[in-house]
Amino acid sequence: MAESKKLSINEVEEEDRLSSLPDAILIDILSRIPIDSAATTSVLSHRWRYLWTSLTHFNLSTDSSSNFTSIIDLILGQLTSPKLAEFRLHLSSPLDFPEHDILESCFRHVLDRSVEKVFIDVRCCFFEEDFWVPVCLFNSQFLVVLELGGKIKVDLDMCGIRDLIQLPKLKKLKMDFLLDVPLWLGPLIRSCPLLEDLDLVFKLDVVDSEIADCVDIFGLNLKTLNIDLESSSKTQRTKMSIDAPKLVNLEIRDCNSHYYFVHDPSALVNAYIDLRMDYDFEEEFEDEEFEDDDYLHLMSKFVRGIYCANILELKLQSRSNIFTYLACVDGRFEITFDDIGLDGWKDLLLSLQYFPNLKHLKVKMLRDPLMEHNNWCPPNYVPDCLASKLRTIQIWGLNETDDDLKLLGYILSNASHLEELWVRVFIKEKCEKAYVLWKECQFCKSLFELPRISSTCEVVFSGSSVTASSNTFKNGNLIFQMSWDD
Amino acid sequence: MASSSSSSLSRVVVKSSDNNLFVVNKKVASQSQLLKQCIDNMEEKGTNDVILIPLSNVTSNILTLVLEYCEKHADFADDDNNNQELKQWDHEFLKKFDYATLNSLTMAADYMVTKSLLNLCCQFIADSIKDLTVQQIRQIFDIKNDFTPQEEADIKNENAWAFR
Repeated sequence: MAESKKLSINEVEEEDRLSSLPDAILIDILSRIPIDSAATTSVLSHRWRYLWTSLTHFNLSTDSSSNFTSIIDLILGQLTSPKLAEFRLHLSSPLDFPEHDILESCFRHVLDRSVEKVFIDVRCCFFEEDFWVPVCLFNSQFLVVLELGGKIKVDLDMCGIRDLIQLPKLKKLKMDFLLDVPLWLGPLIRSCPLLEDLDLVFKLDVVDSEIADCVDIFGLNLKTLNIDLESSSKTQRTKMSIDAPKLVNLEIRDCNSHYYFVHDPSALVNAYIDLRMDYDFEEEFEDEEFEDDDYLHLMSKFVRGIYCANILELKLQSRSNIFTYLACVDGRFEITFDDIGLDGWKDLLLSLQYFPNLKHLKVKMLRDPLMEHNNWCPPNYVPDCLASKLRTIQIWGLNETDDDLKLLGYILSNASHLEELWVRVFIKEKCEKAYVLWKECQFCKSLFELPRISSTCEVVFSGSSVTASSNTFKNGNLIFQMSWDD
Repeated sequence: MASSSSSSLSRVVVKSSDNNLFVVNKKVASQSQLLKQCIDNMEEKGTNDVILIPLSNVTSNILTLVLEYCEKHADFADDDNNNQELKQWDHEFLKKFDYATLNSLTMAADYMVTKSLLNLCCQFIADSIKDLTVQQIRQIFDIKNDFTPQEEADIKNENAWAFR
């Protein structure tokens, strides 16, 4: 074996180092850096003089878009490749947007190079301006990926323009974020017959946003659908109808829209559905009667349609409690249920009957519930999944009351397959530390003494100063970890 | 398809340009498309001998590194390419080399058709040059400026937008 020089193995000393690499590799390297940096390598040496002009990846970051429009043709004029694989533009402070038609013609020139992937990110500070996306981006024979980031506005509703939308090769579309639920959205999706991956983020404003009554998400090839809708206050509910027979992954964060499947999504594997509201947003309705039976009814029907998914993660809170309407759902599920009092627990346990195969359950009772909501009374039968399927249960935000203990006792004495029960108590800020410690120890001891039907079940308690596991609890002696921050 | 006669031999021998022999596990060798192709061809012929693959372009020092990389990556299944641990390892692996070694490694990865290593090297070099000035790039990579000052000024002028 040759002796091993460890780090430096100089064998190309007589040559320029980087220049010894073949052109194809150097161009590969240059295509990974911003195009202006790549262009500066033209002065390195004769070898490098025109290397960068073979780039097929156009990656430009600039701080003003007028700058962009003035150099784009200069750059394109030098690039020799008739085809661009990728066009990536990052505008960091687009406060001086050029005229519509100038931007439009710039992008038209870019698209003339048969670009396959376009990434545009126009994101800067809080006071960002709307970015009017050039409409020519929605009419390209070659685009495979289109990702737009920033405060996106698109004017596709002007007469005649909608007919021009044509993206026959597009597979991935991402728009993060839209200020409206625009009328053109459905027709746009319909104009992308090969679309596989759709990612939409909405940030709606109740005053300015235009919100369509319904959006048809029709995609024969759609496999991944991601919708994230945020709204500054309650707005009109949009009806999102999903017609995607090949859908595999579905992720929805939206407390506002109705969803429904035109056909059952029989290929669905992963589903994540979060119907919770922002707490700030919820405040507005504190006093309002917020009975929305139609919504709950429609959404329970929607969730029922996900019965074939392997994994369903459902995040609900008391306002979006669709359980009362659920019929039968099957599969492996994880449910997070925010903000219920103990009386909500009874509802929850009863509706577990509809999830016979549920294995993991997480419940968060984040806020101090009203006293009258805090009485435990057991349901008159034990849900099947609690009795025979549930493996882990995590509960956040108990109050260490006797009723809490009764609930935990009910769970432990019925869940015969339980492997872990994880309990975190509500953290009280105003109490004396020594008192909290004493109280938590008491509660913890009583918890560990509760009879367990599953002999292998570990109970883990986590309080503000005490953390302990039932595995180390013997003969009434509690061993715990203590945190005592000042 | 591996033929029955030779599939019992799970190792092949790779010879570096400076005539050192490396005994390599087939699974590790298959990380290189070049080696994999050679192995497949030999096995199709149904040889019972130990497969010897000479690499005329790769010195033993560099081959050692390529094989170290292949060995690590062979441990992870194909679907594990996004594994965080593996990514971290990749980064640490490249970080210890000087640019001359990195260059030779890149060439070897290209020659041996080890695509993920080639990608990794290109990205690593790209990341390290993207914020450098022209002068710094010349210095670090030892590139001789063969332009006259006038020529250099002309080019800068022509690409003025890039030299802001």
